Amino acid sequence: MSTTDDRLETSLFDLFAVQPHAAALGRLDERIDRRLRSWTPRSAGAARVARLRPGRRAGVIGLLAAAFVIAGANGSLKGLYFFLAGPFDTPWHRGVEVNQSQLVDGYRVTIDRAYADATSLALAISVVDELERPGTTQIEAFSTIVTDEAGEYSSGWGAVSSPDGAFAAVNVAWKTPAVLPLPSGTRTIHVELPFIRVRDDSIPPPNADEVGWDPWHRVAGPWTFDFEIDVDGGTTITPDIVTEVDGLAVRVTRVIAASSVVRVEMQVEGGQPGDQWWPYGKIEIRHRGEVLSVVTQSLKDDGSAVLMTDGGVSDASGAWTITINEVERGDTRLVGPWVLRFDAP
Amino acid sequence: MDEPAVLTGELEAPIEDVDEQLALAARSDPNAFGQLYRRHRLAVFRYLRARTTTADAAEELTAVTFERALAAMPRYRASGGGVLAWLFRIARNAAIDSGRRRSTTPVFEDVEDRRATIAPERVALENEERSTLVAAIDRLTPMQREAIHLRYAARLTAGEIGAVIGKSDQATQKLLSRALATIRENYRVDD
Repeated sequence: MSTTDDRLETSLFDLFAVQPHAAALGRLDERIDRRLRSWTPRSAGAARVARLRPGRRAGVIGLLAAAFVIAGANGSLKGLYFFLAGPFDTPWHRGVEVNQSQLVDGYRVTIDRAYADATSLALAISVVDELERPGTTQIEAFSTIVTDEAGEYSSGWGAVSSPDGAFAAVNVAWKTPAVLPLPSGTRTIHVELPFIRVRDDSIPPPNADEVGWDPWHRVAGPWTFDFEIDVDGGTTITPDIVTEVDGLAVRVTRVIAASSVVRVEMQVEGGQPGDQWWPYGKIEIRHRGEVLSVVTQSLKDDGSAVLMTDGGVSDASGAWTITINEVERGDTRLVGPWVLRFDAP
Repeated sequence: MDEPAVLTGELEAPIEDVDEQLALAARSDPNAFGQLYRRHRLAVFRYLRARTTTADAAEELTAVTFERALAAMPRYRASGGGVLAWLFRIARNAAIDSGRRRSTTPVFEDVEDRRATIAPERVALENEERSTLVAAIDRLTPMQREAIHLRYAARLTAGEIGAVIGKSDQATQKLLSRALATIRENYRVDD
């Protein structure tokens, strides 16, 4: 039974829940997209650049190139995948059909497609609330536990589309295999989603003093799936080369090159004891003169970094060049560039 | 099982940090900023619509907000309230700068209403209720009204609201409580 307080809060949410005209949204989108196209982030004048000096140890900062995730409110559910750009389209456009579906408590979760190579497994997952519960405003499903013959995959990264209405969304989930690189061949994949998450804006905070109230809540499953997938084992290169600028060295330890993704593992070394630097800003990876776009950086406390590209190579042999233009430690940056060149047989 | 990292490579991070991770990425990546924009354009519009007299004014200020955010993005650092508080501080300043502050809450008559398909008599009844609610909000102090706009139009948490208006969590919660109590005195909901 709703209380007067509940109804007041609902009325307030309702009062302000106006929807702009589609034309207004279109104008806004166009204006911001235009700005973005002409935007040059971190111009030379804007960047604060410093020489290497002792300083406070920085925390880990994760960077990535995210994708536009755009969806029309009334679009076809599967059509939402076509709005996923950058690396997020890999599970759909480069993957294979899985099309396994499971219904738990009215929530249908479907693994539509999957992609696997030496570096990662990527899943395209859709979720629908078939009961269309009142109050639901958004839904997502990509918290996965993935295992195969070699063990459990580690958490990778993922994305959820804007909702298709309130009751459906598509998701992508990337997982890192227990064994790297994943060898070529067929693997049996077990996927479990222990829960999905639902945003319900009809439930106001228990009282006005509630701290940290979150309209998202978990809905327990599990939803489980088993399927086989062929892996592109790619090529693994261990150049172990290093280059140094102003006493700071960048070392590339391993490159795993598959047809759709290249994974580069590197380490920044040197500096004052207790300091830790990480690659920063634009990083360029070239293979035989072709630029591979870096879409994620994963940085760890020990200064190691893993770069992943959007796009891979069919033949990894030939000349590779990796250019790090800047490194960062907290608010301090050091300009290189560090250029690492090696040839793969 | 931990929540998966979201858009961050192998960093472990809860999904609640999506905006923060996008903001860090957006310092140098226009695509990440584009995603931040898509996620929050409606909330920013609704907040600014609550502060302006026309939808056109809200549209213009929403654009100005994101343009200013884009210009400031390379300097963004995670701080109290996170990127949402940062974004709504920009929106609030844009509204103040525009001189379009008004003392009353708009009725949104010029904006598409998601309940437009409801029967006409029901709409009339709801319009009357809404007018009463708007009048109750008008009786609030400017700071109370600001907190209400940030809570119910922008859907920020008390912590985020506090970071926008420069108050502690506790002070913000008291502010919201007093604002709701005042509205309740002037707005009767029929059971």
